[in-house]
Amino acid sequence: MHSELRILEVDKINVFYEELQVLWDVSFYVKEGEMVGLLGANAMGKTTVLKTISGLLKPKSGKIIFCGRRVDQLPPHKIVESGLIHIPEGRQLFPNMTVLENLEMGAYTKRAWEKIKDNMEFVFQLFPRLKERKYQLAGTLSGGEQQMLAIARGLMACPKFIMLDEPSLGLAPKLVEQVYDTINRINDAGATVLIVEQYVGYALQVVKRAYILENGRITLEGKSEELLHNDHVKKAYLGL
Amino acid sequence: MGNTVIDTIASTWGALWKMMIISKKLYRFIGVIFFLAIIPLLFRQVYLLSFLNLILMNYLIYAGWNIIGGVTGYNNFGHAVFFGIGAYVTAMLTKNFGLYLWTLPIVVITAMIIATLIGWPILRLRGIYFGLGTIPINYIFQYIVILLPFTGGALGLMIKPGISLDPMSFEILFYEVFLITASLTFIASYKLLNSKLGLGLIAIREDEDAALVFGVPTTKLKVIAFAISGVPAALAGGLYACYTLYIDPSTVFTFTLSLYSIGANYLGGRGTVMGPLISSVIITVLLEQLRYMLGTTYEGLHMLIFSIVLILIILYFPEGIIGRLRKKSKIFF
Amino acid sequence: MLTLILQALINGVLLGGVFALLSSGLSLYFGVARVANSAHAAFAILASHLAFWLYTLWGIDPLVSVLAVVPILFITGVIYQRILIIPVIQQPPLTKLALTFFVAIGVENAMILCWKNIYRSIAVPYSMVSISLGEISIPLIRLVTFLISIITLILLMVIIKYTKVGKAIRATADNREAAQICGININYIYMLTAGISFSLAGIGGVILGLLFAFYPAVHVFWIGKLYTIVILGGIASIGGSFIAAFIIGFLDAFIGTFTSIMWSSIVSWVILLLTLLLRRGGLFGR
Repeated sequence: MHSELRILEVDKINVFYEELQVLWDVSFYVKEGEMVGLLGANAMGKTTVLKTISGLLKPKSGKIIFCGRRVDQLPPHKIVESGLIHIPEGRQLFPNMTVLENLEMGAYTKRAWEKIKDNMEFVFQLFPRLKERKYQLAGTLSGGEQQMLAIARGLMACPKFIMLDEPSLGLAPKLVEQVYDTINRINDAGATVLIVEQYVGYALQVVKRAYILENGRITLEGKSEELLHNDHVKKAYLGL
Repeated sequence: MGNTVIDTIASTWGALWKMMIISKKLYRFIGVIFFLAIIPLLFRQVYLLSFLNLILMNYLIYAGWNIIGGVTGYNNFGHAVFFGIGAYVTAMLTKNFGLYLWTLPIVVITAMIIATLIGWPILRLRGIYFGLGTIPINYIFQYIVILLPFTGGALGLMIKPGISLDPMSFEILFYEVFLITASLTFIASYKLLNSKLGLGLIAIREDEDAALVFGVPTTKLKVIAFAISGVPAALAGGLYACYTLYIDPSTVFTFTLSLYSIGANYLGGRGTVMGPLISSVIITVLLEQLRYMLGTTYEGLHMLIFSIVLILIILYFPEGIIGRLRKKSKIFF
Repeated sequence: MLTLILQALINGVLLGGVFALLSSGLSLYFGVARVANSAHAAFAILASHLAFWLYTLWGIDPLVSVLAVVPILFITGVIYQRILIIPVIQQPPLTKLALTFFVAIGVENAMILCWKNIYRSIAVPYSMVSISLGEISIPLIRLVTFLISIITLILLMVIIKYTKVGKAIRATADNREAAQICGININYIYMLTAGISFSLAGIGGVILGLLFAFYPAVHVFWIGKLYTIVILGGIASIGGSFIAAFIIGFLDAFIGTFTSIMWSSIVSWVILLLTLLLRRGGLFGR
């Protein structure tokens, strides 16, 4: 369940790669405790949105407000400190460091470091496979294990809000189920979740509410049920 | 491999030749040059003339580097090698055959051949690897010259001028020769930047991978640019040998000269036509002034100031003087 | 003949350790912050001069003056990263390479201005002492500097491998964006890395002053050798440059034993060029 408090508010951000504009007046919000989707086909700007929220990119105009504070001009490490965690596309691990070290780096902030032992236990409970491979180099893990590690690393940061970029990418269907199962459990435990996905049909069955991003603009929004019955969504994304 | 080398040399020569064709727009330019050419008749001062000669010689060196470093974006840290090649070819041919200034055409061809031979393997390297790869050639050529028997070794070569003139006429002769060479170089630079070759080189500088995708023959163009860049520098070297009548390996193959060429172009504006001209004037004047004011009293101070200037340029004006002017006034320089 | 070879081998090991120390800073700075610091050797030579004057003016043994040199160089490194590297972060790598060379020349001339371009060496009382093992003599100073180098490198390895901040440095080198989203302040990491790199250069410089004659302009000779080692080992691989340092160390030792040491410079340059042309990634790089 979720409160009515808007934990994240993105207000008309315009983002450029050098001189090329990729996001136009993108606005959306996420309420505390919710699980929301940011959906759309490839290369539509979804990753750019997440990177802008987490501070890796800066918007030319617009505002991003997290827990009531403006974060769009902050450096990434400060945003992580406030509890906004980004789990990037394509895993983005530290390939030459062990599973254990990757998790340690996830807990780098002061707040997270204090709880590192507890979080490590929790995470190993959630992903027993990772515990088995504690001392293995992250670059040598399989695709599914890497995705688990990426999520686990994000969890080590004591997140209030987790953004996952294409968590199902490159995974076998059974693993995808496992991953989404885990995400649900995290949401149940109290963390707010924003999921970016290109598998719109699947995602709409997992999240309660979603936004559709097309060509750098938010074109549709609403409850998942409504979107599943929307004509445009059906034609463009569900192949119906 | 041999075929491609000859093919590249032929293309380079063809490109150079195309640049020499005179068009109507250049008549104005020729007027300016004519005026400059008669300066020595108006101000009969040996010191002034030799100073101008120094500026023109530096211009040749810097303008050469500009082709590979400025236009193509491949910062060559071994540019002094061309200068040295020119100096030694001229010196050796003059010493043995008395050819003196007539060695210059041979210098051009030699420079192009050696540049092509060095260029093919080295230009395969990208970014930092290219830069680091060009540094050893400064020292390798130094050593080759020192070790070979007929090059005068570490002590260098001294030559007798092929002509006997009084100091004033000597300066005037060299002034006119430098002026002509510099003018041709200036015209060639201008034409290069407006040619298909130039466009290809700029494409390589901006995004080499994209250029490849668009069918630009990057390796061939890079080698051509490298060869062209060596010509003015080699000519400067040859003229230097004829002018100062003494050369040695540590002066003409010095890594410092390579660094100067790089710094000068950052100062003037990489990839611009006027850039090397402005910077050769500024640097020659600056160094002379500093050496005059501080030279022997505080050894190293003038070079320290010069280094700081270059550092500030790269930090805050990496596009150079002409680059800055371009941004502000949109006039194409 | 056999004794000569044995002597060369031992010299090679002792030299290799010192080279490993000198190149570790260069390798670290590049691996983490992607900065090819051509001024690395110049700052090392600066440290040589500092140690020289501390000894000559106030009798402070160089091995003790390391305690002063390290913090000075550390702070210099942090400032260097902040003032010189951050403004040019967006520039192409060749521009940054040119910049670091101009800094090197600047440092060289600052030294010439202060202390003139003359040969110096730090001659401590134990410089002349040699340990004899049969027909082989090992200068005590070479043994001592070797030990210092190895100890410093071990210390470096411990810091990088086991401390929180060392892991953050490794993480930043591995994947910059991922490091950022873990909450690592990478600008701070870059400055720290620069500081460590310069400190290593500082210790290396003190050692250089004890082992060899130095003068301000000699940094070009050394940066060439260091670049050779780093490229031979694989530019971002500290382990690789460690091994390459010993290869070059052995090479120099054999050159010095069997012909004139003057050859070592040009041999380094040729190896640098050949490595780049034949296998750009070096022995252990990607």
